[in-house]
Amino acid sequence: MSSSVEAITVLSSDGDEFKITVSAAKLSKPLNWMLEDVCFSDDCDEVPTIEVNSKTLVKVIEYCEKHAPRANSGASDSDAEELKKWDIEFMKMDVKDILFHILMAANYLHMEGLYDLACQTAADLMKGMTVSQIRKIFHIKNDFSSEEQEQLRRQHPGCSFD
Amino acid sequence: MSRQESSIHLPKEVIEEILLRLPVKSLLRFRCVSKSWLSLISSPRFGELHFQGPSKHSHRAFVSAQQQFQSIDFDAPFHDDSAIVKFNFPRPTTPADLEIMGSCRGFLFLVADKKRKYFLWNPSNGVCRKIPPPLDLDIFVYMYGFGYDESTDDYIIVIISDVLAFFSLKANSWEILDDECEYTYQYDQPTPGSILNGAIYWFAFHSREPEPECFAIIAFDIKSKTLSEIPVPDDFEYGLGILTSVAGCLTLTENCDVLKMWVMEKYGLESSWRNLGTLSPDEVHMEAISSLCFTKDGHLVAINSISGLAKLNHRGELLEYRKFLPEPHSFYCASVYTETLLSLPSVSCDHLVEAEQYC
Repeated sequence: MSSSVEAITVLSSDGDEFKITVSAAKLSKPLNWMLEDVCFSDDCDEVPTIEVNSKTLVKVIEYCEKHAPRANSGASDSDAEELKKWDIEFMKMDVKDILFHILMAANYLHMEGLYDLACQTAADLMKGMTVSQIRKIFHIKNDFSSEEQEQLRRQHPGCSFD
Repeated sequence: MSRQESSIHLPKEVIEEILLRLPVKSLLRFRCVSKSWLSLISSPRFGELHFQGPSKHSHRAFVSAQQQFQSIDFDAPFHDDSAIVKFNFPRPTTPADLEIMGSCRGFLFLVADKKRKYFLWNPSNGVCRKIPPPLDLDIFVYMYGFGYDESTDDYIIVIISDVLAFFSLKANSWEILDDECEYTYQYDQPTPGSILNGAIYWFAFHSREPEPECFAIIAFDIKSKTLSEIPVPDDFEYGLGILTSVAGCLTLTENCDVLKMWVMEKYGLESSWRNLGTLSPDEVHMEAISSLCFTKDGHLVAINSISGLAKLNHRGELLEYRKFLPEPHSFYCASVYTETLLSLPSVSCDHLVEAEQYC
């Protein structure tokens, strides 16, 4: 890869083109491999596809660009503190619409930091939910028979199936 | 750009990764989501991963009296009833005289039925196992200890009577370590030990020494299975001492007209006993209190002999007091435990037949 290249172009699963700087792409192992494998110079026709939809990829790239300077050069405590605050703001999103997509993307792109952050955010949102709310966001059907529910109620007084 | 919001189904391993970050309280509720969630959350493997994992473990006070059990979130105000959880003992009959003789990794060590029945119980997930008592049922136990040996992934129960003996959960058997033990208790009741840094501690009397040399703090090293002594503070005068392990330190309370407290700042170093000051809690029946823990705000939570919990500030002033259960039969009606989903390791195959007899 030519060292003069500063940004690469990738395609989302929806077929939209996105630019991501080389230093930001280094946050993801698969993207990093692509950097090494694929020719990204201007006269190269090949644009790699990332199996992530456009809406999610926008957010993933935003995260990468924000975190890249710190990941590449280390950062002072005040920077780390600032980044933490930024993460909290960044994660203010709907669970089903986008957070789960980000989780899947971070998992697929091997981005440990974003994966941890998204898992923790999901856990924090779920913490106070009822059983029916959990079933709804995870698309889970209540598969306990009424006898099994009765048995569980006896074992664990106060447990609720709603 | 096309934006199709398809519903997303997370794979099992991603769901597990999220669940590992949830507090025990939420996980217990989510057992009712589906059969697969119930089996995941109840599995010993998940319990272990959750304990090692990134979620912060919450600590609660456990109070037991007259076959009733409550766990209390001591960071919440005591009058907040939503901070109290009631439990049923997971055995058909609950012994009337259950005493809490230790707490470790979410398990309570309970002694009942005139000290003849031993149980390990994790109130969070209901895991409970009956432990065979020492073969000689007539021995008189002065001190009990309960701890976890990381090096062997085993739970141990220690008894100090005329002998020093320990029980290994994995081996499912008792072993005598010393035929003669020179330490006795200070009250007429067995004393539970406190765990700190891989050892169990008791405030004890050395039966062969005159006062005041007879006061000793003894430590049982869980890994090496050895007993040693550490010095009491120089200015400790009266014999009635209550030793606890609070927030990573040993604290000693001298119960007389006033309560004097010390904390050992550097482990094992006599000179590091620091007097925390004198508390004069005359407003409630606090003639004998045992410190349990500190709240998030740095207030001391202590229990008296009638199952009343008190919160005291650093000047010893009473902030809150509530009696949680009817009068217990014993001073050892309360403990602090960590909320975990841990199971107990299985008894190794050689000992399985023996173990079944006790189930």
